[in-house]
Amino acid sequence: MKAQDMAFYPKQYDLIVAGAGHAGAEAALAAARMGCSVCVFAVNLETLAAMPCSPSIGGTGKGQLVREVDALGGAMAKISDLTAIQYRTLNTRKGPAVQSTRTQNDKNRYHLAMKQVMERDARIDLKQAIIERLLIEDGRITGVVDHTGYAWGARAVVLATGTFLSGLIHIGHTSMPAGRAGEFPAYALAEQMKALGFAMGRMKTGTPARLHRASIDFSVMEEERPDPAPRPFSLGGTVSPLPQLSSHTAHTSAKTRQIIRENLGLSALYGGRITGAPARYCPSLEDKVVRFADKERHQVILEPEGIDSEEIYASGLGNSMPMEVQVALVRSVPGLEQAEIMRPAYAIEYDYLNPLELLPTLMTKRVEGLFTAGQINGTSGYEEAAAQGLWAGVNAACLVQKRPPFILTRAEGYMGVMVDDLVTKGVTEPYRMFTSRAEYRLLLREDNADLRLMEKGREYGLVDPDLYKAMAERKREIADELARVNKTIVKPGPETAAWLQERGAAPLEEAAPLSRVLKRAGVDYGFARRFAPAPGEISPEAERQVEIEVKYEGYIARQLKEVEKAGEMERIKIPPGFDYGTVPGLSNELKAKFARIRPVNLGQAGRVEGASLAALYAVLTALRAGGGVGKDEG
Amino acid sequence: MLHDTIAAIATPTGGGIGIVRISGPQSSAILRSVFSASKPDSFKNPAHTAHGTPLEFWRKSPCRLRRGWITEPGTHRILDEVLAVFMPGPCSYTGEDVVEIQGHGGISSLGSVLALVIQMGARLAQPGEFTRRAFLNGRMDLSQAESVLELVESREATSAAQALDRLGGSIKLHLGPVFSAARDALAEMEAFLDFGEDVQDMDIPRIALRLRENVLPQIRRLILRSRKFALSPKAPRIVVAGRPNVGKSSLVNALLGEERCIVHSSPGTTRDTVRAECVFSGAHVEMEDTAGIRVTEDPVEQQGVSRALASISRADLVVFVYDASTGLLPEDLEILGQVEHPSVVLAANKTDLLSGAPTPVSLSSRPWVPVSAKTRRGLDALESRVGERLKADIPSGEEETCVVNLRQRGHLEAALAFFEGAAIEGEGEGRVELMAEDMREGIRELQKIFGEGTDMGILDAIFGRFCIGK
Repeated sequence: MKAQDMAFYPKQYDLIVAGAGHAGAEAALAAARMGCSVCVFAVNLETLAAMPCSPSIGGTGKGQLVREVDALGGAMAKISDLTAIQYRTLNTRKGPAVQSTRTQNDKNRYHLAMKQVMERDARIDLKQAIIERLLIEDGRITGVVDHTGYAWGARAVVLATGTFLSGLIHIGHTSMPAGRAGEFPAYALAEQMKALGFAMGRMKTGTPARLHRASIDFSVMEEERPDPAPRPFSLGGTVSPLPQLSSHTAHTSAKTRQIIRENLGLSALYGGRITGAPARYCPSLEDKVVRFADKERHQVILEPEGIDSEEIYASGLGNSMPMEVQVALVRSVPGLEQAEIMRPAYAIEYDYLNPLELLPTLMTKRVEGLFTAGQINGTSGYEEAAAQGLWAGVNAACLVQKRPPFILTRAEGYMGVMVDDLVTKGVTEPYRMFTSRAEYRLLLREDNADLRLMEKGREYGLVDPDLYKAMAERKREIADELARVNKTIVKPGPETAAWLQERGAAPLEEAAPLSRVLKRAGVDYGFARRFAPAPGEISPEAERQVEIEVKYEGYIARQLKEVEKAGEMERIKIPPGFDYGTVPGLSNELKAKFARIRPVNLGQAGRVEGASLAALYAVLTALRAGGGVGKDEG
Repeated sequence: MLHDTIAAIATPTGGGIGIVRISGPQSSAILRSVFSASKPDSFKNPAHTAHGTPLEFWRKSPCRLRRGWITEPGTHRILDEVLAVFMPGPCSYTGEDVVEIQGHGGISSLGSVLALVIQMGARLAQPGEFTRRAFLNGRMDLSQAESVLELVESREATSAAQALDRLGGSIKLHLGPVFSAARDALAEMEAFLDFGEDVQDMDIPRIALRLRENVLPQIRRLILRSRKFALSPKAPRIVVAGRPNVGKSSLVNALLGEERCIVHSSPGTTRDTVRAECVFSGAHVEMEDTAGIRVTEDPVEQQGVSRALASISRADLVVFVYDASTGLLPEDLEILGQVEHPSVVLAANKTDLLSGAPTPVSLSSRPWVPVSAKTRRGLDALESRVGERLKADIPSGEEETCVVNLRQRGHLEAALAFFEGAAIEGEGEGRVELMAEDMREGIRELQKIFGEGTDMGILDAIFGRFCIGK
């Protein structure tokens, strides 16, 4: 049907977001903050911002993403604080660069809180409908059509479809089309995208069983208590008002292993019924038993799904076995002998868009104004989704408002690392954030996300002005205090010697700058407070920043130098229409790769797989010949 | 902008002269600290005032060559007599302040000048880095860029191929296990950092110990070997010997392609040994012409003879020349007996004086080559036989073969420092994120030796070894 023959909703939106999960929600909220009118479609409004897998937010690498989203005015950390039933800081015994916050959340309350935030945003309309078709004119998106054939007009569209595109659930031999357990999938949209020529692939993920709390014997398990003095996830936020609950750790038994081995053929994954690519970092129990055959037991963590819910998430027991096997294998775990499965574990396959189809704004190269975010881009995780949602939402708003695109570099944030990885290297398994993916890990910390990103967030109108002011104040405070500890001299004496000795540090041999003392192992800010206090009061956040700066000093300086060096290449822009076919000295393979990926600058080109130094020279030479090299801006 | 200063030998190895090029903001400071325009013996009382200090000279007349000496600050040891030039940016090759020092082309002198420059604060340039800077600073137009690129690339290609050929891949052989050991250690650290819940126990001091056992000594050994090599350069020495008047000097001159040795037809003119460095059969060699050897009463000539015999004893290969027009005489055989060298190539010179073909000589499987210094016939054959012989003589023990070049050594030294840092951190506070940082940098340095990319494959290593995921 042609656009003029269709029934259109009377309101024309700036942005339509298809999907209301963690990506869709942040996309809509960010665009709304920038002044856009937004319409969000959910297949089911009861599962908006759902937690279909683990009921938790954050974790190593992911906590950094949540803080970055927060520093850019996003909702995830705030909603997390409203609904947390357990806080933990991971890696506390390791350095600040790899410490991350993780919360367990009441998943119903999380959904409700996010729904409320979106409902109360005057610029956002929430609709329940399945989007089946994109409306495209002259290569530009103009709107979408829902499952009833009703059309909705917009200047930009963000697809945040999660596992819904051609979703197919597997439990043993049984398979059924579904977006998630109990929800309609979206098949028509996937078919249209393939017809449009988009490179689509198939991925697999899964979720473990939910067990009834009363059927579990927690007494034989190890208790994981919540952090007694938690810090809020969100900047300037407060910790959750909800009661804090424990998790419990159990282990699979030799019997579990035997059950898996004997029934491997019945598993959807090992029975050959699944074609989608699974994630190596999140293996199913079948995978763990097969790939690490000599490991006798595997960890199972039992996490509460909420205050009012009796359901317990059995982390570590994910599988795609038929029900009779699932019952046996759950009950083979000590403490779960009587366990009642309320929801079975299942595997799900879904279509994703090869992210090499995307520009660094997350807009597709094929259709102007069409953006994608979250699992549709081949990633996994609520946090990865939220970060991409924000990124796509902001860039959609920028497109509509004719503002320069919003890009963070690999040196500015984990968000920048992730998007650059996606659009430059593509994916072969669901992409999850790891701190090892960040080359500037010591700079990209959870504790300094606001200091790194808020300025940029403010430029785009994403950040609350009061929060920004507080951050700027803190930045000054940190700079002043850092200068002070560098120039304040501490003299040796019996008192300092005693203090240091108590903490296993050697006494001072000569007068030294306070910063040098703070750098020593075992010395924390207590030393400064006691022997060389600042004239005014120093906030704990500033103390922490100064301490990190001092302790990491040489390393931070080294990374900053590397960032600067890498920046040379990033500043050399490659125009969008650049013709690689005429560049002498490039291999055909690399020509094809460059033409497909279309790196926006020489730095990105250098990260394309197989790009050699000589190839970059060749591109640079051709760029200079064309005279189209912009070196300075952006 | 670019803050560091880079340096490298800008000319191919083996030439008569060579250039050390320095580019970056510290160029002039480095030049000032190593270059002296006054004569070295009067260095302790600097005589800069005659023409002003070197930098004043270049301030007045930039881009002009000036003669002087490279001396080690502190020790005042003279490394080379050179011509130096200072080209202030932005009108230089790279667009930055550039210094070029033209020195003598031997590996030893040029290498030691470069080593000194690096000691004074420059960093060894990566392949093609000067060109890269020139590009980045907008100093090159298309045609220049293209020609330079071709040069850089072809040179890289051939030198890479040569290096591989010469070393028989022994760097890879030596560094491969070191590289995997370092990468495994990093994978363990990354797994510990990223998957703390799955990989709970990591014995940090044990990892440090592993670095001390499986990484550091191996790298250190390579560096030491390379240093030893650089301090006493072993360009193979070829000594040309024979009776007087068989045409040794003419033959050496013909081989060198220029009139460098004294040539005279009366016996005993070459009283002293004469040396020249050249590229011979693809290798950098030192060629030495000696006085004719014969029993003589003349004390001066006697001196020359004993010097010639001493030269022969130090030689890697002896080209024994005799007169083809007279054939191998008893005197020749007597001298050959005195020579007593395991590697001898027999050259039957003056074949131009023969009407027919020279009679082949077979002396305990020593290669025999008929040549004519005058008509240049047989020179190629001689060169290739000498080359073959030299290659056959290179000791095959693995200890000797893996000698890295200066660039590779720079990366090895950097890698060593980083790995050492990781080990020290592991033995001390044990902050794994900082150990990992050092490991990453160290591995990056090793990758530069292989010319490999930045993808470390760490995640693959992690997933291959650890059961990750709850």
